[in-house]
Amino acid sequence: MNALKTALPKASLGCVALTSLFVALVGNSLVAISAEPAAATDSPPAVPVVPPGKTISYALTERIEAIYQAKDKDGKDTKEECPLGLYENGPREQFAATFPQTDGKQLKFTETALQREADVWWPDTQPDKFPFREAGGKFSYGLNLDGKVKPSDFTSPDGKVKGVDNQFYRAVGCIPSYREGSSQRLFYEEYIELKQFNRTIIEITGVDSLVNDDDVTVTTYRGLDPLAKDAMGHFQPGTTQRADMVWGKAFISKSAGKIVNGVLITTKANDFVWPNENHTDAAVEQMHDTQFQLHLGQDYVEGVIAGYLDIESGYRAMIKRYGSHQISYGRLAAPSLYKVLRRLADAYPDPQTGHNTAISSALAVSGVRVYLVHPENTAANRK
Amino acid sequence: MQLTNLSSGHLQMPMQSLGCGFIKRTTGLSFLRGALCALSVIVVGAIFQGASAADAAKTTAIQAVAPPNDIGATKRLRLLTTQQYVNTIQYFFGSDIKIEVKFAPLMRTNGMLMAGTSVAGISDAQIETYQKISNLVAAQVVDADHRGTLFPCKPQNAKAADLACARKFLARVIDYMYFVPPPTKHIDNMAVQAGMAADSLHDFYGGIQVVLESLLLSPNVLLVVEADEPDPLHPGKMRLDAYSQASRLSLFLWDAAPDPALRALAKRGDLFDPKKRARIVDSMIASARLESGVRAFFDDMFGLEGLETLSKDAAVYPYFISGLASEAREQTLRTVVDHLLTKNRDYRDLFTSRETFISPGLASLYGVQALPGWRAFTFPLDAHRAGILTQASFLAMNSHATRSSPTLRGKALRELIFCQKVPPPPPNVDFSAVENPDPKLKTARQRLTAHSQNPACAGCHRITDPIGLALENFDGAGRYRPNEKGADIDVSGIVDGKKFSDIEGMGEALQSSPALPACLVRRAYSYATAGSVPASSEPVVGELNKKFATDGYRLSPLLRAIALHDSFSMVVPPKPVADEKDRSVASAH
Repeated sequence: MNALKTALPKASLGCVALTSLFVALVGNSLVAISAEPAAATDSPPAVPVVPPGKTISYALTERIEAIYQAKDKDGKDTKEECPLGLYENGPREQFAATFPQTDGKQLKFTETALQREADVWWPDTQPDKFPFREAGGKFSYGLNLDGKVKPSDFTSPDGKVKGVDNQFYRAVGCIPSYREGSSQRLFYEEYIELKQFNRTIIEITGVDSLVNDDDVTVTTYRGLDPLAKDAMGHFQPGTTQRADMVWGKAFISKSAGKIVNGVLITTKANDFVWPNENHTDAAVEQMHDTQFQLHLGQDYVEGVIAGYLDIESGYRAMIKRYGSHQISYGRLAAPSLYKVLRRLADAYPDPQTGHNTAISSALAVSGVRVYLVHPENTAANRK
Repeated sequence: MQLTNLSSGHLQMPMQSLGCGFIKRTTGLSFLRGALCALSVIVVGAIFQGASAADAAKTTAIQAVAPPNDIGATKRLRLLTTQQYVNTIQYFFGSDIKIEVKFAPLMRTNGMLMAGTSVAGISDAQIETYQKISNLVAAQVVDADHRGTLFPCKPQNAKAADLACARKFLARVIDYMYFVPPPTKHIDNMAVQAGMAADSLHDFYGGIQVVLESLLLSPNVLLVVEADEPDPLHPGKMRLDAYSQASRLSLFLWDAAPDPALRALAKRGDLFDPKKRARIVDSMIASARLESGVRAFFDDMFGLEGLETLSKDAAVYPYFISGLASEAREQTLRTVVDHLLTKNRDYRDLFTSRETFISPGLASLYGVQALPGWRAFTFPLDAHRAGILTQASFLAMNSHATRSSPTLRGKALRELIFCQKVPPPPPNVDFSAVENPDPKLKTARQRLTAHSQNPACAGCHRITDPIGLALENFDGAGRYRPNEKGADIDVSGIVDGKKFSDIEGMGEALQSSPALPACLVRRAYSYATAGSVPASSEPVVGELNKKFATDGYRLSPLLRAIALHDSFSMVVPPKPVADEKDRSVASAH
């Protein structure tokens, strides 16, 4: 199993045998990605090396923050990346510490719960009275977004790639909510699959070969149709998705790329908007300078999408995404996390304040091959 | 109990006289008990009638006047199929009346389930099914959503009996649902029973519901009792009476009970006038309801009911997802209706045409794209699919749960499409060569060749395998595969002496086989008359074959020819069942 997948709570692909980390070159920069050569282990050749119409599309079935967790030789979580332990000051703990109720004074609702709500929805960058525990250590998943190797950067878990930009991991890596096995991650993954709003399609056009092609176009769309599973419960390749050209225009983004040894590498960073709905609230997250490193299988795709996450939209999506019980059990204290995200932000400075507004991050993704149908006109799309 | 080709008279209503009685009390429970009792008793009564001395004498009389080479079919006592019951209910009460029911399976008799409707039995469990669905239908008919449109009147007081309104409603229902109009007294009696129930329940509609439930599980609704009479146009011979002819026509062409209009024409005697009868048949063929009839016929002929219970090993065929079997069935029926009715094309081309309909689930199996819902679709050339035999319905149904089966496919094609009979395997056959094969034998052809080294097996496999092996490019779930375990698949074969090398060639070989249209004619005639084709009707089948060819192998003219043929409505005395079986098997070869 691939190291990234074992770090995730649900290895649901079941059809792609993941065996190794993959190292590839992007321009002059070494990057580490989490996909492995699925082509060698993918299902029998249902699709020729040159896909029909020189186009292949995948619907994402998983899209979640790429979190590295150190393991010992038995696969046990050693938490080496969190030398101070996991973060413990969750919402309940912060509430109890803020309103200790030791003096017998009766506090009003507006002074307690609503005050906490205000802190969540209107966070600030003032120093946090609760000590935070960042992820440290040397390793992280992700991509070298800026082509540089800086002191704050990580190294790929196999040690081969330097300069991995993933400050988001530094912020959340020790928060239980973001770690393997948390209910929050389970819900997150489930809603990527179940919520139509989240249906993300990656279309690769101009493909002369799924193995090597120095010029392809990568476009994301929002799909209109549910994901299908086969009789074994695995995502079924070869189903049809309609591109949402009416309400999904915000999610269309185009980039250039190439395929090297079966790995799609975007050569032109671009901004993407990710749909993100959980439970009942829909939100979007903006990601700047997004790069793709995807191992292309004939029926499945897997890899990393990395970029600079816009903190405001990412934070808003996060606090809308989860219920109080989830963030409480997962020790996810939103106001504290916001302060850390802003402190660790490493890109896109505000022209007026000079403070960075985006943070390097990486998403672990996997998907299944689909036929993407483009509607001839918007009327047909509405049907 | 079994109703075997009964020679039946009109059903009486013997409930009271035989001790079941109608309602003793006005509770729903006792009423239902009475209705169930009625059904059981009437079936028994019918059997009793069939074996009565009077009937025996009548049969003897018929035999005495009918020449041995007479054409026609025996009159039947038929059990309504599930779909016929559903169609009848929904044509009258509306398609929003939800009916999810499955009656007991019928026995396929000489190739057709429809022939099994006259060789059927009714078990206690089946009566319970009838009662349950009658209850559900009746409840919907009288509920607040439907009563406003389905009742021709409003009761003066919804909490009490209203004899006039109840009678008006029940008369309409009975007029539509009963195959034979009952005496006026019967309708009056039912209205009274509804009134008694309404008074007891303090609910007019509740009273109607109780009576309607019993009405819907009445033998007058569930059983078709054909009756005969002397035929003045053919002195000395017998024909179905007017209502029986209407029933047979409607079940044949519409897969439902005759509607009041058709029954009224029958009552007027129009079905006995050749010109008027032709106009009636033409209007029935022009009706949208013909589609139901055609779907039912081909569902029967192609044995598609097998898809209802089809299952595949999910580990071997994970892409054969839940619901795909019913979609495959629907695809084939849509293809048939579109090809034969909408486009009025040559039946034989059904086995070479790439035009079909597709759903998203099937598209995934076929490796093509499809938008939501059912849409017209033409298989591209590289899809290697042409004709209905390359559709998932035939391929998956005639395979094992874990592997394809050229033998099952070949057998199905021979029996269902060519009306031939493939003998069952000998009891001591050794299947090890195919079930636990030598790993070196990668393809089905190699395994079957090894299996057929046994002379006891070779005979039948020579009949089935050359056709079945032509479909080996499709796995047991119907998905295309270019090879099997890495080995090339040889799909060459021979049909009726015509060699082919690929699936397209097989379709063309089938298309040119005289057995193909001849089988359709035989099955359609059998379906129309709800029984096997008797030897005396072989000349009729031959005549219909010629007409089918003259008409360019179009379906509608064939249906018309059958419906208007004298043999459709003429009655011959029944023959022992054993004779029919023997003859049918013999003619199948």
